[in-house]
Amino acid sequence: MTTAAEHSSTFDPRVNAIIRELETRRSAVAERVSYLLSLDGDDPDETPIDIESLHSLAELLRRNQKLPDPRIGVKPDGLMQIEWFLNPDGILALTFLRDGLIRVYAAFDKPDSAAGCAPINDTLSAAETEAAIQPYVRRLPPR
Amino acid sequence: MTGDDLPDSDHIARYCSPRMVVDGLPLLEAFVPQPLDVPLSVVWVEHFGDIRSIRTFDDLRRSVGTHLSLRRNGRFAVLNIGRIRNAVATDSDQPVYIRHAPLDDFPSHAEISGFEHESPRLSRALQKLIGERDMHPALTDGPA
Repeated sequence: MTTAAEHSSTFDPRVNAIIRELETRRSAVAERVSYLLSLDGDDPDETPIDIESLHSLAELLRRNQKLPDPRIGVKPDGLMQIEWFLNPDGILALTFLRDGLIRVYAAFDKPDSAAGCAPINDTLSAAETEAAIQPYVRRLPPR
Repeated sequence: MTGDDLPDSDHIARYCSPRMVVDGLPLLEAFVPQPLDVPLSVVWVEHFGDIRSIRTFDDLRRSVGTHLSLRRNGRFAVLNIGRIRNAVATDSDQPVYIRHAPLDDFPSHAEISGFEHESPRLSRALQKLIGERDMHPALTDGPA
């Protein structure tokens, strides 16, 4: 398997800096991001990863070290998406837009599981996002 | 069957690119319609034959591969239509429509609409139905 460091030798310097930062505290995230970057250009229908979106994602994880590693993907338009499955059943999903805003979707599948967690389907600033998702963060598995 | 509701016993498939698959399962975003993809575009599996036949999936891959750049690490998420309707009915009193919507060069094309089809609620309803055995390799050989 190719390591994040091996992948990163071919990336934009800003991307390399993001990966190096991720590697220090979140090696699995760095691996996944490197893999996703390696797919850039592979599909003519998909836009390469947007660096601003990736930067926003990395910053959110850096500021919130207690968050467990998320599941990470890339939309066809190049925007990064992360998500966590909630306990018991639900999802917290964030899409990092080019302008620094974050599209937030959070909901439990069954209303009676949602005590204290109002559904969120909104576009927020990074600070607003971090505040809004706090009730959900308490329902994530510990890192 | 143009425009007809597809039967509960049949199945739809949605291509999930490698960027949308983690540990063999799709991200929520895999079921969010993209700008040119509203209502949610899917493939009617039984258009190609019996779902239990290997040939059905070979034909499906060949056909979809003429429209999308399939990758070996991509997956087709395959769902029974009756399961989707039941799941949405449990969640909401809004209907979900799963209809054959053939295109000139894509006769197996189908669409999912209704039930907030532009909101993540439908995406989540679909995502939570998917298990590993519902995910089929997009290619049996070819580029990763």
